[in-house]
Amino acid sequence: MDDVIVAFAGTEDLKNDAEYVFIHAFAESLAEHGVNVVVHPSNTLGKESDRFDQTSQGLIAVNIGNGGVLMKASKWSSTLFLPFLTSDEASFDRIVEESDGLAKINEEASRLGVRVAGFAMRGGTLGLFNTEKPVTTLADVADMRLRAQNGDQVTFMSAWGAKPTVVSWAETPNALQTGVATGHFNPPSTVVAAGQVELLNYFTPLNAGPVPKVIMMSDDWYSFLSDEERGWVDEAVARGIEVNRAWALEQAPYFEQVIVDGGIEVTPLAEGEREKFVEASRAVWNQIVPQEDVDYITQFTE
Amino acid sequence: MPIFPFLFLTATLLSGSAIAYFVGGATIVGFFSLDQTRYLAALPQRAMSQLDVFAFLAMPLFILTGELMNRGGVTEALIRFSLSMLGRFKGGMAHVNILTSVFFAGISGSATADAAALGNTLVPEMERQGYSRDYAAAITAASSIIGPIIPPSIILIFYGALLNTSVVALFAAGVVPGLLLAAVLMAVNAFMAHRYDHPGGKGSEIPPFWGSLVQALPALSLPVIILSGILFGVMTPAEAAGVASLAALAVGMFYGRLTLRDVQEALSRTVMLSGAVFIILVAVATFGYLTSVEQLPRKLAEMIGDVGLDATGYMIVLNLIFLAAGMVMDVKAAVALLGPLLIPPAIALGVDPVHMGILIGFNLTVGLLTPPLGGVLLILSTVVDIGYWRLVRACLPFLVVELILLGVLIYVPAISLTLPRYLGLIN
Amino acid sequence: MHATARFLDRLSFGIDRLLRAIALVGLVLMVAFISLQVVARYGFSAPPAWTEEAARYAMVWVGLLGAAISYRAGFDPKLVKLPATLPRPLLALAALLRGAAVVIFLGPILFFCFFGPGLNPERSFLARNLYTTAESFDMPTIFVAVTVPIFIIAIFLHGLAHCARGLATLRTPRPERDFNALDHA
Ligand code: NA
Ligand code: NA
Repeated sequence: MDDVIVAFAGTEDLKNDAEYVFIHAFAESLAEHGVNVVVHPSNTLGKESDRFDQTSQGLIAVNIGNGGVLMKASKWSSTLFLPFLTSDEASFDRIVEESDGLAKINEEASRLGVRVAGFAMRGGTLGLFNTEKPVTTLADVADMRLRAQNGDQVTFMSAWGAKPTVVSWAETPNALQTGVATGHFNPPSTVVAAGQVELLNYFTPLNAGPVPKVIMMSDDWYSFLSDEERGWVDEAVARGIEVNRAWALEQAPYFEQVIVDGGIEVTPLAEGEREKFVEASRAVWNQIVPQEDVDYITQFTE
Repeated sequence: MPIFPFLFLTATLLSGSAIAYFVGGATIVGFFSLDQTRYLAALPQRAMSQLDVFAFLAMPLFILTGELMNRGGVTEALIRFSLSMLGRFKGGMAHVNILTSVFFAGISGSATADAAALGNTLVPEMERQGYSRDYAAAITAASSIIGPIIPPSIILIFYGALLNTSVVALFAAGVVPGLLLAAVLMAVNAFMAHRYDHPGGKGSEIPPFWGSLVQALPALSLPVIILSGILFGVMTPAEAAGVASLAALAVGMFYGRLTLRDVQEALSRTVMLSGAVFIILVAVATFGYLTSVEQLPRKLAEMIGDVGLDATGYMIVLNLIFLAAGMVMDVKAAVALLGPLLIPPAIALGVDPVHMGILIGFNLTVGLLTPPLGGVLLILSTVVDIGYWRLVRACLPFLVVELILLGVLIYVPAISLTLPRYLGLIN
Repeated sequence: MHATARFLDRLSFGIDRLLRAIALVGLVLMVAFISLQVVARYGFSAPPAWTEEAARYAMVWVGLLGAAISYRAGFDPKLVKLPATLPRPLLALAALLRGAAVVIFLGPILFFCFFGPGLNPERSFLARNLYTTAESFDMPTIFVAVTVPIFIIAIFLHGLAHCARGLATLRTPRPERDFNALDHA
């Protein structure tokens, strides 16, 4: 079997990089069958949209991408990324397992020659970081200028009563320093990886869901493998995901400790406030994805 | 490398091919020679996505701002204001030339635009007052490169976008080195003025300070909007550039100089200038892709490790490479082509990426004053009608001073890094 | 020969005018979107999410059409400038090499706009962009992607017209501005 080309955005850091944890285990598993994996880290083969495109053409065999780029190719995939759809990795995995979500995504993505093999978890769950004040209630968020990643985030942040403003991730540190934005919606692991610990002052755990990175494979590449080789690859993906999940569980408290050590105060929500966030967010789910998809996916959330 | 492609590339280089097409064509030949042709299929996407970058947005808009400003009577107002402050000193007009470039620098990011504008207006005036044409042209050339160092700066936008470094932090880091360059040039000029008895001082016509300040206020509001807007976080660089282009339009209308035809020409030239830059980016996207497929950056970093260069040693090598590149290449092509390949190893060795950006920016702009090419030299020798090599000789003392300043900047990172640190933009 | 050259010349001129008009509109849109973003941030309660992405797409249009305009105007920076006093065959050879660089560089990019893996047009760059949408508004990215073949075809046409003009010596080639190439920093 030829060398397997793998690309991702992060660095080859087994301690802190969730995607590399997956890739490393994936590569080790394939190595048992004498298959060599060539890793292109740090966006060297291009940014998200480029790597997606190269996967689509079979130039990259396995790409770890973000949710945003998948949504460009599969509208349905937004459903899995709805805020407060799940609270943690286990419940996310269960929804993927029990629903036909992945099949729906792959039906859309297959038009572009890409299949989603699963997800690599960033570790920890989504919460609210800010520079301004301890947030413990939904009312505290009112009129806060939150950095939104995209229109979907604008929608649910507005529903919380905040004033979202779209800022690209590259400009977010400056936006925080200068007050263009005073907070954003992310897990501690992302803040640590981005080196933003010193910039932020408060973190409110919302348990709004895990942060899944998308493991995509080239259809061309996969379909040209022999049955035996495909078995190796499936096994390697399963092994990578398994190691990633164990890492994510173990690592979540570590990231929380890093932000606390870095001077960020953790301010948990007051009694009954998470329900208010959930309610406000759910009320606008159908503005992000069609109502029928909302209805479909909520069958699996209870 | 096989002999035929090599001969072909050399011949193409000598044929007067534009840099973009030469680099692009050579890279495609490289894909074939290295048997990587299947990757060619990714190129259309790479071409599109290389341009589709948030940080680049500021570039065409700052070019537009400069184009509008040059046509809008802003230059005269700024010269008059500088004159009201510095005209009374010996060598006053040369000081005015430097100070006007500082104001210019706060609006536009281009050294060649500065050189063309002041070469047209100030150099004849200086000659009338009794300066030699050589000196007038040389001081114009030497001070024009303040433009890309004090923000906004197209070179720094380029660097920031290509190396994922905050453009805001780079802009903040450029302020002090730019002002320092102006101060050093003024000191050299003061020395020359006394040594060679330049005109200025008593008896010259000095416009009243307050009158010229009021006249210059609209023009001066531009750098204030741009700099405070960016550095204090009211706007992103792209937003500041957009607002500044509208402000330049308004200021031009205030001075009553901007016609509809001017606006159209400014837009048209901006499109063409941006196009010339973006085709370089497309070529660089192609080249960068080949180096990535071949994992060249990684091999280069390992090589540097094997040679055992430390941060300072590598910095000096890097600066020499960029100085050489600046002598023969377009500044932005040099950043785009060499930056992504050569700079990451320096950052891995612990050099601050913002400090690095200022050094590369300073280094390459000094290249605008060096033969055999030197963009500012070529522009000025045409605009001022002075022989190219005569101008080179006249610029030499200033060039030496600027190279010494570059050395100081390399060894004292605090000069560039203190302001962005103070503003909390870097740690 | 003359008729062909004249036709190509007029075609190249017309395309240039058209592309300039589109690029100017793109540039004005860039300014408008970016300024709207500032106004919205400090004016409205919920600023639109699409301004930045729309401005970026306008920039791709401006940049690539600008590349074609710059090519026709001979505006791109060069390393070497050949003296016009060289013998004519040498100058012709140089022009041939310059043309070859353009075709070698842009030819493959143009080809893969229309063909994908296995030379399948349904998987070409353009076809792939039929299925991907912009992030913050509902628009297939084909409306951005299509600039890539447009600017390349325009450059090829300009180059062809230039060659034909040279061969037919319809008129002496446009004198290039002396220092234009370095008007960039
Ligand atoms: Na400037
Ligand atoms: Na000057």
